[in-house]
Amino acid sequence: MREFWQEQGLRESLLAEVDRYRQQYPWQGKRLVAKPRYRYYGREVLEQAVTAIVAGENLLLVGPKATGKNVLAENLAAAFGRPDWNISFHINMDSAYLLGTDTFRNGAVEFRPGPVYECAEAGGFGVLDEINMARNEALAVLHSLLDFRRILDVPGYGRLQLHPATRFIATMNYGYAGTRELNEALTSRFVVLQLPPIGADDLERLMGAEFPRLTAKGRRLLVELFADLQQKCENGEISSKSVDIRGLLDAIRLMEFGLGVYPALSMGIIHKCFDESERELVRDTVALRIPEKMEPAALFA
Amino acid sequence: MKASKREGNREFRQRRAMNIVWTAAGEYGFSPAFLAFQEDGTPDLYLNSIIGFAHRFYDAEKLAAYVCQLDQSILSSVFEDILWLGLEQAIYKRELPNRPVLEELRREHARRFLLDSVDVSMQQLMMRSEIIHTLKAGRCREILGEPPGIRNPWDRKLYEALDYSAELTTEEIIARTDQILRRFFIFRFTAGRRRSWHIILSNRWQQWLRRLFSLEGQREFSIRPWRQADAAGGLGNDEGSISGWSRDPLAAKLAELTAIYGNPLFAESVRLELEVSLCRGNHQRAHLYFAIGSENDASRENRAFWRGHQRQYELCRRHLRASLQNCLLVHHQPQQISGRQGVFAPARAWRGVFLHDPSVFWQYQEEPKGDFAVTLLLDASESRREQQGMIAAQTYAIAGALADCRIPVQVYSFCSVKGVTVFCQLKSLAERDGQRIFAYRTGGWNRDGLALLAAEKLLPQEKKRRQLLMVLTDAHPSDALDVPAGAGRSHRYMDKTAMEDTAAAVKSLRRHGVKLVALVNSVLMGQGAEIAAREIYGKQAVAISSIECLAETVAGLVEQQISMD
Repeated sequence: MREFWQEQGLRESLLAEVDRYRQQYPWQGKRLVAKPRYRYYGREVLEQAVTAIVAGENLLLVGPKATGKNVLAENLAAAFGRPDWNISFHINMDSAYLLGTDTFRNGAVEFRPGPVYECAEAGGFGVLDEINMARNEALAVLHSLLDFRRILDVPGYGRLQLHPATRFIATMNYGYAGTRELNEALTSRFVVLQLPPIGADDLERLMGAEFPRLTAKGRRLLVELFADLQQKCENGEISSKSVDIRGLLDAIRLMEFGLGVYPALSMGIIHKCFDESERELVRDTVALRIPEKMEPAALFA
Repeated sequence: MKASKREGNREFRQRRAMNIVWTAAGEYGFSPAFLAFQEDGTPDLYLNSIIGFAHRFYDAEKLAAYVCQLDQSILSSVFEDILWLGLEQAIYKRELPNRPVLEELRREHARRFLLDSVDVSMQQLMMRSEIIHTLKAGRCREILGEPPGIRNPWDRKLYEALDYSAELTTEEIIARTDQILRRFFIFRFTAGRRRSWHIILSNRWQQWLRRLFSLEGQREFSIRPWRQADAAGGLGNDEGSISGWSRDPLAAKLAELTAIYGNPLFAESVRLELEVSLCRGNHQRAHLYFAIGSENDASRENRAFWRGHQRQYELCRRHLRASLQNCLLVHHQPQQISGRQGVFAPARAWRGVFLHDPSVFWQYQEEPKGDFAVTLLLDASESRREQQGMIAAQTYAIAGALADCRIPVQVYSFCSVKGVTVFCQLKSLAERDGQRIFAYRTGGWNRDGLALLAAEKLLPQEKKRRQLLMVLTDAHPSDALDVPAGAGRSHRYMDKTAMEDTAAAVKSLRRHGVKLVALVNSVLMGQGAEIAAREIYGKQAVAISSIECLAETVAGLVEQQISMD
């Protein structure tokens, strides 16, 4: 990851800070440090995020779908050499789910630690995914953990002091279905990084790294198609369902395995819209770039 | 129902065609003056993309001005087709290197054109412009790799002249087309003039570009004698009496209202019962009539407005739908159930010890809140005349978004005509489609106090379902029928008197558990209207200053009402 960040143009002094962190907090636990599936492209965002982590801040990543929030969080955890605890927030989440819950075992009530408790104890990177999906009342328990106190009081089970290597990275998509306004008190405990939608050049680089056999012409064609969809979504003609980088990459993967370009894009992008009329609009957009009978060989070397 | 479905399909096909144009143009927000459709009504992918590229590559204003000039000729349709034949060639050559898919799209288009050109009837042959057909067929054959098959030397020269190159600028295209037309045709100008720029189609089956609708379409303001007579009668009545009304039997007046507003919604006995229970106190001399709204002369105006602003309102509808869905998703209420983990429940501990039942904890499962229904009540007085199309469009968008979220919604308009407060049902709860909303029409006065009291009776009588009454109003109640003040005296139903009466009705409804909110949209929007709205409706009055804020405002009001419980 260090080499990649160097290639991206991150300051050497910042990379030295990352090295210092790793030396100070070498991971020796059982949980594996995950190797990220994708790499995050975007020097400016990377630099800001790494600085925040080095400075001991908690990071809130805000951005629309497919801007790489989770990819960035995973990249950071891997680069800092810590395992990550991914906690997906949802509407029915309560504080017990985060911290831990009472269970009944052998005739006695026992505490079973939750993911936030485990992460805070071990000094991991806690990825609080879609944090604004949960009710603010459920999140209030995190306040003492995320501010200068860095403690966690579990009623009946004492106080947990946060491991100094612990960092929390929250992600949210403002205005997503099922989300709510994030409490001001909670927001103030994070530094906020707005993630821009991936640019055409970065997307092309990502495709190149992910699919080395994809030709430059093929990359450009798919990037232009994605830009058309993005523009249509920005203008409110379609929802963001089909503006899906994950779907696009999945489609390219299907093409690599020999599936026709159009059917692959149908599975990865067009059929993500379940509304018939929206699907027609997306289909037309694809048809203005991709011939229906295009073979994958036309895109791969 | 079938007609409205067709209308819906037509609207979607237009939207789809526009989207193809916008995608190719790389720009949104402009209204394409041309759209192309196949014989079955499906948008033509290739030709709409050509229209979009024309917008991207050339100066649309200059081209439009040139087409306007062509429009004055009796051969305008032929000339416009000739211009497009040249443009298509230039655009194709220009865009092909960036977009190889055009080759296949063009070939498919040519195949379809030639296929449609065989087995045509004599009538169709008589309808089509032979020269244009020859040129198009020649172009299509060439696209498919065949010789153009044009034998006539004059036709062949014209065909060759239309081989525009990719490098031509707008000015050069206009100059070249002009040169061609002057060389091959004689101009004959007529006085006829069209407002919009269309590609004229030579016949049904060989259409390249079908003129579907005029975006600047003619606004045909129908004359409505009934409204003028009513307004004049009302305004000229200084004493507040209803000239003519008392002399005529009620039945005759109701028959007149039936002719204007539509068939009665209720049986006469029900109407009478409502009248007896509601037309008291300030409204003791008033009457009530409830009609089933149907297509009328206002429908066309309202639909024309909708078509002109369709994109904005469709966008508003989608935003509102998304906001409402989110709002419904977010507001849940917890339900306590026992489980194997959660908050320890001491009262259940014995079960763990003696029955080995591990469910000695409370868990909280979230349930959606009880559902609710919305009634939209539209002020349809004469003062809303200028905003009639806009109100119909707003209501259509709101009702559509609510229906999309499966929230039952009904729509009524009300106005006061010669002392009768007339309700017009524009959408029932059972109707899925809201096309009748376009039958909204304005005229007369608005006796809001009585209208609100009567609206309560129109709300569905379901105890489990909460009722939200949303009034679209200018917060300016006034009626020609006075308010009796005792001893033969009376007050005009306007200003303070009318506002106090309406505010009292609002309070009465709220006391009965009706959630009432007002969307204030006035031609005289300003501090005055806002103050009046606050006085009548309190905090639950929101001004709609623009279409952009409509979705957010309505969603906010609904959310407020849901979260209040």
